[in-house]
Amino acid sequence: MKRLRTPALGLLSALLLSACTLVPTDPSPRVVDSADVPSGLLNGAESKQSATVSLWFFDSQGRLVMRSARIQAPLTISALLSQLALRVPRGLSTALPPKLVMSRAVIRGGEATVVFTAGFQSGDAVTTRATMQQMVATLRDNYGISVLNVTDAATDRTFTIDAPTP
Amino acid sequence: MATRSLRGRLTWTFAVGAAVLSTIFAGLTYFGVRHIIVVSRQASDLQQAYVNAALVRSAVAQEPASLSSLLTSLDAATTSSSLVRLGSTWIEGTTVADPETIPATFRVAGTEVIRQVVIENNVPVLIIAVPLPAVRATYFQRRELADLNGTLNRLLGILVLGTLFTSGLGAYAGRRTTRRALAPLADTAHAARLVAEGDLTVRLASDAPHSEVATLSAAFNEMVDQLVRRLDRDARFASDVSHELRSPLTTLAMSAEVLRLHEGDLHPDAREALALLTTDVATFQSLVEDLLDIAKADAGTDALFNEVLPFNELVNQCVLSATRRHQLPTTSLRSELPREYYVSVDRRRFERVITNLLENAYRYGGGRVTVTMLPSNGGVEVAVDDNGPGIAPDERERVFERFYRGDLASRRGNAHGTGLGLALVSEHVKRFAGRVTITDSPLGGCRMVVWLPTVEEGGE
Repeated sequence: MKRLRTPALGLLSALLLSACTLVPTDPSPRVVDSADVPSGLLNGAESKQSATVSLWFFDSQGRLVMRSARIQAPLTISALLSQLALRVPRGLSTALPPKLVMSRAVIRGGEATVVFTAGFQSGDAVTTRATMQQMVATLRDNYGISVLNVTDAATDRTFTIDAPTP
Repeated sequence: MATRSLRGRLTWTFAVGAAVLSTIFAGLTYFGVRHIIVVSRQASDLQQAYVNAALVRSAVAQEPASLSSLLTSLDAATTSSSLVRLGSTWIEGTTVADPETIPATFRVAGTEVIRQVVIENNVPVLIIAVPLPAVRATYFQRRELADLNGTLNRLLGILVLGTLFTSGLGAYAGRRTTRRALAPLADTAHAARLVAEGDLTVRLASDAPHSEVATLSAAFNEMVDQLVRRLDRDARFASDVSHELRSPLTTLAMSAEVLRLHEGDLHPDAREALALLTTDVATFQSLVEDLLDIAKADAGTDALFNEVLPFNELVNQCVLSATRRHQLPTTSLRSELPREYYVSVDRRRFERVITNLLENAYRYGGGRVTVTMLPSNGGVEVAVDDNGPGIAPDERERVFERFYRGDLASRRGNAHGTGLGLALVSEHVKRFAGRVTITDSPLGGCRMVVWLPTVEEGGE
C-alpha cells in the first residue's frame, strides 16, 4: 500500500505546489523568432527625416519668445535641451548652462520629469527659475506637458514649474 | 497503523488507485490547459505589441508631441502599460509604468524582440520589448497576468475537487464491489462457526460452478463430509467396543457376586482382593454403560421416548430410585413450585441425569446434598447443591466435557468417577431442549442446575 501512497502524495504535492506559481515565469528574457515578427518592424531603415520644433529663448527685454527650428528625428528631450543651450538665435539669449548633463527624462501624461546629473545649478535662483521657464515652455509646445519636474542629482533637489498658458 | 480487515484494505486500495489515476489525469489536464492558455495569451500580447509598436514608430517619426497621448490611448484600449524609450527619454501613457520596473536586461538596446514573464508584487507580468531601429526607439509593453492566474486558480480548484470526488467514488465503488466479492468468504466463516458449534448438516452452495468460490465451497463441503464420516466411525467404534465389553463384564460381575456369597470361606487376603475386584468391576460397568450411552447419542441411534410427566413427582421418583439403586445417602428434597408443572422428557434418561448429579455431589461434595425444585423463566429447574469445595468459574463449562478431570477431581476428593457422568448429563438435557449450568451453592459448594421447558398437561 505504501508503494501506491508515495507517488499519489507526490503528485498531489506537485499539483498543489504548482499553484504557487500558476503562470510559469522565465528566468531570463526570451528572444522571439524574428520570422514571427511582422516584416518591416525591425528592419526599417533609420529615418533621416528632420522635425520642426518650437524653441523658447529670452529677448533683450527678458521676455520669452518662440523660434522654430528643424532638428534631426527622433525628437528627444536631450536634443531639445541641446538646441536650447547651444543653438541660440542671434539677438536672443538662453538661461540653460552649456554643460548641462541629463541622465534621464520621463514623460507621463502631461507631466515631465527630467534628471540632471551635472551643470544645472550653475547660477543663482533667478537663473535657475529662468532655466525652468525656458524648458517648460519648450516641452509644452513639443510634448504637450503642463508640469515640469527637474531633479538636480548633484544637490538632490527637485524643482517644479507649471507650464504657462500658450 | 492498525491491521485492517481484508475488505478495508481492498477498499483503501480502490480509493488510492482512484486517487492516483485522477491525480495523474488532473495533473495532465492542468499542465496541458495551462500551457495552451499561457502560450495563447503570450501570442496575442505579442501581436498587440507589434501593432502598438508600429503606431509608436509612426508617431515618433511624424508627430512626437502626440506620443504621450498615443500611449495613453493604447493603455486604455489594451489594459496594458506602454513605454517608449528615445535615448535617455522615457515616454509613458497614463498608466503608471515606472521605467525602473523594466528589467535591466531589457534596457540594453537590441535588435530583436524579447519577452519575459516576471513576478512583481506576487503578480505575474509579461514584459515585451520591441526595438524600433527606424526611429532609434524601443517600445515596451507590460501586461499583468493576474486574470490568467485567476483562471488557472479556478481550474486547479475544480481539478482538486474532482480528484477528491473521484477518490471518494473509488472508495465507495471498492466498498460495494468487495462486499459482493467477499460475501462467499463471510458465508464460509459463518458455516465454519456452525460446524464448530456442532451443526454438521451445514453445507455451502455456489452459483457459479467453475469459479474459485465453487472450489472453496466444494473443499469446505468435502471437509465437513469427511468430518461427519470420521465422527460416525468413531461413534460406531465406541458403541461396538462398549457393546462387546458389556457381556464379559456382566459375566465377571456375576462371578464376583457368586464369590461374594461365599466370602466367609475365603482367606482374609482373598476377601480383600474380592472387595477390590467387585468395586472396580462395578466402576468398569458404569463406565461402559456411560460410554455406550454417549456413543449412541453421537451416532444418533438411541431412540428418545419422551412423555409428558409431572415435574415434582418425576424428580421425587428419580431421587428415590437413584438413592436405592446406587445406595446413596438419604437426600433432602424440597419443592418451591407453586403448582404442578409438566415437562416432556425420556424418563429413563432423566433418571440417569438425576442419578449422575447426585453421585457427583456425593462423590466430590462435603457429604451434605439437597435437591430443590423451583420455577424459572418459562420452565422449571431442579438444583442439586452440595457443601464441597465448589468449582472455579473458569472450570464450570469444561466439567461437561468428556473425560475432563483437570484440578477438579484431585481438589474435590477421590477420582473414582468415569469422567463421563456430567458429559452424559449435558447430552441428555440438550435433547430435552433444556440446559445445565453451575453456580455457587448456598451450602458453600457448587449448585448444578438443570433447566427444562414446561409443557401443557397432555401436550407433547
